[in-house]
Amino acid sequence: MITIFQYDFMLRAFAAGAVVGVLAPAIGLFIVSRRYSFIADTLAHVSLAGVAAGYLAGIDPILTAIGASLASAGCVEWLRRSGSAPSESLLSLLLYGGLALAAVLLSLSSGTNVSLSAVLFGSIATVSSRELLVIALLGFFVLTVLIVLFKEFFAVVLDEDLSAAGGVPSRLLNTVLVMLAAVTVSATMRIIGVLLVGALMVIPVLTAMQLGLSFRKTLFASMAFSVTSVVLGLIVSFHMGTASGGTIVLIALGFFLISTQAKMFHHGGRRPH
Amino acid sequence: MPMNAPAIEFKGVTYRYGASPPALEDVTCAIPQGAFVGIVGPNGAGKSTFIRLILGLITPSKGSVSVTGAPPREARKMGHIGYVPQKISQSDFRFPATVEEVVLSGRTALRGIGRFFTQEDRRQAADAMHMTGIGHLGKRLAGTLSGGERQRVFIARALAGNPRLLILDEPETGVDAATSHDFFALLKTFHQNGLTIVLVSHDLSVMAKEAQNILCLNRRLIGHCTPHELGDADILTRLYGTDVTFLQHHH
Repeated sequence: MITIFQYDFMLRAFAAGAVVGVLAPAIGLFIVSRRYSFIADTLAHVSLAGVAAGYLAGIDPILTAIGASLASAGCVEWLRRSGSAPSESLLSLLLYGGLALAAVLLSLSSGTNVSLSAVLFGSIATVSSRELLVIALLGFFVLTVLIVLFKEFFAVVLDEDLSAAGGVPSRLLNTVLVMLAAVTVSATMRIIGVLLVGALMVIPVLTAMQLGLSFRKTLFASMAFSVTSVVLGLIVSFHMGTASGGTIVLIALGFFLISTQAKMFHHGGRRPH
Repeated sequence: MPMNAPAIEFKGVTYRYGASPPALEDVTCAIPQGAFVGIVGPNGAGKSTFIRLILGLITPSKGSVSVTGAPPREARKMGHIGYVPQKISQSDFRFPATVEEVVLSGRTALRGIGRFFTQEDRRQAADAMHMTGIGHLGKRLAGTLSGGERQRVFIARALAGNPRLLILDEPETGVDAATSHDFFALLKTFHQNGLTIVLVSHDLSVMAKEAQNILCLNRRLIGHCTPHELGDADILTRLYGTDVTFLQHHH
């Protein structure tokens, strides 16, 4: 256990993991409460196109991923308001579009040193000091906005029309929330991988929701489940040589199963509310 | 707010969604302050559009709407409008929040963006919970309550902002008769304390029993009437477009 901390790359992975472990469920709680979980997957797949574009153009992939996911976040909200199709269908449209663009760009960048597995499933060994700094800055930015606008986001995810009727600028806040989700996806995918980034935004939140706590306590509980999953996942991943993203998500799923069983046991086998 | 301004005033209001036929056409009406008004009409009559116009969620294609003498968006920013939507008493409400948190969120716009809730906000929320008889449910998760209790939570949420006007959309949906009776008794108390109440429903018996005045809507304003006049065959035919008989039960 002590040897793991002798490696600089592991220290960077733990630091980055702690940031994304707090960040992902913080945004995830609002996304899940708004019944908009699928958006994380959509943003992640569009981010993959951004990563591929970054490799192709020789630009830092995190920056191009942020650009792509922010553009898709704007697109999601614009299409949703246009009412041209149901929200889920619009998200599917963008997800497949992002994946297709990523496939084309990755095939064009075949001559570059791209580790597709690391991009898709996460890699603990390749987080550089510069990437750690970018992840930390993004995390600070997103958490600051979340704290400042916490009560407004709560009102909007409770009911968009209800909050708008009460004088809260719901449309603007919805767009800001989706943009924050886009930034979170880009910051998180380095550790978790593009295909699993949505899992860290959703599973710890669902786990915490089994505990029947207030919104605020659910937020802290989901962060605790998430950070614990990330830390344990990184340790297991280091010792067993498995993909960090998959390992973290499997551990998070384990916590979810335990919490649902505990809830059923607590309710004496009856179906809880 | 002008002292004698109507609570709600529509002047020649038409609203159409895109290129569709008008959902509302040339509606002119005024609801005075302190009134308890019901809005009835068949499905697709424009009742929801009427509410969305009052709330300032949409703006008229033609004409103007004012609430307490101001444009709806200004009125809602000042906290003049309390709103209780229809879907709130649905059984699949699983939002992870306590009753206190939901009620307190009714003061979000009043406190202002980027500012944390104060003790005054918490006191107002507690008062609203007390008035609606849910003071003892503050720590419970809103999703674990019955439809009737949840309905009171959202009325408390609307009242937490000290509105001048309370709008309720189909509040009897999803609650049993006894709960509905208690609920309307509660509304009458608020009305007696000076609150203007606008109640939207497709249930004529509810309107005949609870409202002081009734506004009949079917894309156009068919007319105003009292609860006693609601059984008038002519009004019902104009409202529903066919021969309708209104049977009212007296218990």
